[in-house]
Amino acid sequence: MVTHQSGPDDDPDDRRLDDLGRRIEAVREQHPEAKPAQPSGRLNVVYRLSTEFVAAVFVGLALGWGFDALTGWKPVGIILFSMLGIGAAFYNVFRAARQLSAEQDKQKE
Amino acid sequence: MAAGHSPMEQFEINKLIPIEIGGLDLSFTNSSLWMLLAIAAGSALLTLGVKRDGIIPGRTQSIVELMYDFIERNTVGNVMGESGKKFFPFIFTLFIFIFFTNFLGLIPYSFTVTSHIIVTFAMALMVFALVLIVGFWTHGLHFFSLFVPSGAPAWIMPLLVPIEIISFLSRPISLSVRLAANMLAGHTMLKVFAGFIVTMLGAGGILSVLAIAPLIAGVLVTALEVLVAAIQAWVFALLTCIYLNEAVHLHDH
Repeated sequence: MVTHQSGPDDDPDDRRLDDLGRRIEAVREQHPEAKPAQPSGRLNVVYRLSTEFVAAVFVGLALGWGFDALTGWKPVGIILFSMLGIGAAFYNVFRAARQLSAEQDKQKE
Repeated sequence: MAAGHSPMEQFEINKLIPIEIGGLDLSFTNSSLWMLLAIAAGSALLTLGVKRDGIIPGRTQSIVELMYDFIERNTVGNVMGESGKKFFPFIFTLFIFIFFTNFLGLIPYSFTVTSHIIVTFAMALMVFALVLIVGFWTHGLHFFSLFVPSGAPAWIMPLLVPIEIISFLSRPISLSVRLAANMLAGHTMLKVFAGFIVTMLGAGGILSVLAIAPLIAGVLVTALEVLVAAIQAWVFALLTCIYLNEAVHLHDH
């Protein structure tokens, strides 16, 4: 009365479950593209890229303002850091766009 | 008439139970209430959904399993691979919280917690702090090499390193602004269209017939907002994964 470890052939439920698993696998292999789609609409892309841009410019300005407040070289920091911020903004957008296209490639696979 | 009802009125914070401790305003606001409701709704769905634990899932269990699977395999697994396993609970919690606050905000007369940038910024800062902790924990001071782009000549470094640092610091801002701006814009748009319907009906004549146009627009925007609510929760989770992945693997990805 210790035989709790019944084989897959003994329990009809287990056998049906195995059978179902095999059938699902077979269907999955036939339709490899039928993965759950990842939502990345056009509006989503616009939001993602624009916020990346604005955020970097903002951080550059904030750093410049802080630098000026600390050193007292009034326009120098803001000019320098906002230029760096704009550079970082383009870099951010470039990287985000690369990530987006990588996601799309993964979807197509 | 809609007079006196600004489209921004829905975002106002009201104190439900005023609490003040040591000069700090710790009042229980409508924002706190909807946060608690989101947590309650999320917990209820996730615990009750799998309570029956059937082999053939019911409707609720299917929803829970789909959400879990979508974050576990398609988001965390896809971006971070094996190393993402230990971050999955955090990311899933974050996703569920944002998902439910976004969705509860769509109910008329409710309050959208995520439309306030301070809430999303707090979450983004949490992610930012976690990235720093994980980065320094796994790599020590070598983590700073994240700011040194590989394969660039040395003379251009004084320019590239500040850019990388600014780019890194801009992450919590872009993460939080994106979510809050999406929610704010969508809900304001809904309210504006709803306001048009009332004003045009009130004007009478041909205008009240034309009121069907903002009604259709309102229905469409509502559908769009349902989509945006889900997508923005997912984008937040996805970007958290991408940032954590960078902290764990530095450049080798």
